[in-house]
Amino acid sequence: MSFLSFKNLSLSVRHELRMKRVLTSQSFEFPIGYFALTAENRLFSRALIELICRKIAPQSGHIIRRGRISWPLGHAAPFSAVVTGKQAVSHISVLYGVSRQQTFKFVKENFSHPELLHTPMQKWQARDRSELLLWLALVPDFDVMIVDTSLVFTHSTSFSKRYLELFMEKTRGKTVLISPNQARFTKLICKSAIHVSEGKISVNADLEWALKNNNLVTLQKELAQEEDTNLDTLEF
Amino acid sequence: MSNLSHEIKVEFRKAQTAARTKQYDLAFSSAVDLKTLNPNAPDIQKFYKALVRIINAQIQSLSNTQGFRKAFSLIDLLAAEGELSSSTAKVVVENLRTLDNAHKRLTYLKSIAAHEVSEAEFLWSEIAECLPEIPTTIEIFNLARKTLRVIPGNYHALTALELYVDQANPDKNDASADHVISNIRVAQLEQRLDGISDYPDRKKIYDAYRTETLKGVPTKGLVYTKAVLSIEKTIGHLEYTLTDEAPGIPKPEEFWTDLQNIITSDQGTQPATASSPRHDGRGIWLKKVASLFLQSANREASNDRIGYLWLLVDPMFHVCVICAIPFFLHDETVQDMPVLPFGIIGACLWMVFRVASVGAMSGGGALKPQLEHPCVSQFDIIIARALHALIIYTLIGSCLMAAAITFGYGDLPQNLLGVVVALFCAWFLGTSYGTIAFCLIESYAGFRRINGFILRFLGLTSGLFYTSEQLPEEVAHILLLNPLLHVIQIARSFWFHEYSSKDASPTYVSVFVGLIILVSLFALLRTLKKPAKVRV
Repeated sequence: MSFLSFKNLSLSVRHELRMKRVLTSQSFEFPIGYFALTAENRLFSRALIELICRKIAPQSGHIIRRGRISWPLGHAAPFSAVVTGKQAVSHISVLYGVSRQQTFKFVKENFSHPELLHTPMQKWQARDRSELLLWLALVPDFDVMIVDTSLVFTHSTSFSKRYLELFMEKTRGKTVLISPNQARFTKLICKSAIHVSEGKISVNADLEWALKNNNLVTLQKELAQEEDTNLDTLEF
Repeated sequence: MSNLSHEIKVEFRKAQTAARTKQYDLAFSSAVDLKTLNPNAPDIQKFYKALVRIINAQIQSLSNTQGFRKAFSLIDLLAAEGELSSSTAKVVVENLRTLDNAHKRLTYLKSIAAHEVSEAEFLWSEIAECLPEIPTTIEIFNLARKTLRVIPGNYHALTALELYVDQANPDKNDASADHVISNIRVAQLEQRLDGISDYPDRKKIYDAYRTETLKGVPTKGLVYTKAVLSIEKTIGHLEYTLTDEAPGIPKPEEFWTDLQNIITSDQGTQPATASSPRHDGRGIWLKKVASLFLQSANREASNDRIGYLWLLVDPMFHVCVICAIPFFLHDETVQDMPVLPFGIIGACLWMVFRVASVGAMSGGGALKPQLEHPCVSQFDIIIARALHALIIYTLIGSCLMAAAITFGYGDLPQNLLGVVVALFCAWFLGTSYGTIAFCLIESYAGFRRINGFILRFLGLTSGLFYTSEQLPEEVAHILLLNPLLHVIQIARSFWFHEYSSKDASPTYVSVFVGLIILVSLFALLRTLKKPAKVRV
């Protein structure tokens, strides 16, 4: 069973006054497991994330959600920085229908700076904000987890290890889509990729290929253009 | 010399004279002809070589004194015969740094690049330095690419590429410029790291890469910061560098091995469920909207230390100003209604309508980022924003009415529930109108301006300062098309014992509210189906 699937789904998005077709009549079942989310360019992977998160809607077709979907981990925008850590915890508890007390207890146990929770998040260091938001993502039972950030952090190896332990435990048997922000980590955790290209979405077992072709369209276009202009014979 | 014919001897003397009088162009062209016609004449060959040396020296001297125009006419002469020396080119390139005009400097540099030194690193590093300062064109793009071939990883060339992709080539909007540059840098580094798995060795390569890339970059300011960040991003893409120096921290490779163990372990070292709660069920919709409202209110109140106070005081001033106007227009009563409560009811209901419509029209405004939560929809944030109007103006209205009653300016309401229903009707009207306006603005941004006029017209015709019964029948007939006038008069009828509106129709209001809610929902669904803007 898949937690998320597309049925005859077509999606176009606007970007800088132009229309871009991302998916054309695609029916696709997101398999269970860890997948790198790659696309021929960043716009497509971003559009796919926003589509899954219901931020944007398809022009035709349906998205069938059989499970609970996370917000894109690593996106700080959905968390207002002016509120305190406690208010953010409370907000998440309400939105995702989890117990406020237990969420707060869980965060307090794991967050490196629990004393900050009563102060506005805008006064925190960026790393502390990221840490809290990552811990919060482990509270609700998400069936589809979208990770658009690095889960391995430079400021605390112990945090990275502890977080990854809980993350792996929590996401076992779920669908996890990971943006390849950190190639080494992506290669470590994913065996294959979900690739969006030329209006199609598919599972690609060749992770190396998918990572190499991720966001490469512009570069390829430039290289093609370079061949056309034949730089070697270009006169200055 | 004696073997040469008379004509050649004459020609040779002419060339020597021209050289002595510093007419180098004439002397050199003659020398070239003589050399070609007499390849075995040692004197001519000697003269030619001496002339090349003199002209090279002359070029250097001219460039030292900024005589670039003359210098470049000589460079063209020498370069045409392949006699421009590398050292001369280097001196000229160095002297060109004194030119402030990057475009002019680039033109001269390109002129040198067209000749034999075209693959010289010093030349391309100078060319690259000019590139980011010149408006991006395909030529600049190609120059930058060429530079990267000669000097891989040149910071200025990468910046020029970045600028080109970013600004001058909007067609390539499907991937960020950063990514293009990052791809190039990562590819370069990956090539160098090929087969090196030991971290200390990799680190050496990173350090060399840093030094190399930062060479020539100004050591202060934004350009430097940007360059450093860009390098660190590239390295970070390939390697997780440990900055934590605390004792007991594992070495990078050990750390990655630990992570690999965690990921591949079937059981996991510690159960997450031990401390992280798992609950089923979704949040109730009203709770969710209330939480969104709190987020919005916190945001608005956070700008000031007494922000929460301003949330109430600012709208209260607004209502008070509107309430003051009936005092100038009427005596102590308006159709037997005390003028102060009369004004408060009108002002509060109007402000509920207006602020709710503006909140909805913004499509959620400050709450828009919340849309990244899959459980939050556009409808939720529109309602949450519009809720702000209902809560704030209900509070203000209650406070002002309580004050008016306390100081003997009015009586308790005849039917409080009826007033509350009227308040909700005004809110529904405002929210629905704002939602329709939001949808129209999404299709045509200019509607925002038209909306200002519509709101002003609605404000003037909604009976803030009068009742429809005071107006001539023809005028009242037209103004009663405005449902808000009905709502306000119904609210006054429910509050005051002394007044019962003959013109206001609850049926008209109910039908209008029902219809406008349906239209707004339909418009919202249609708008959400349209291709959305996506930012990368």
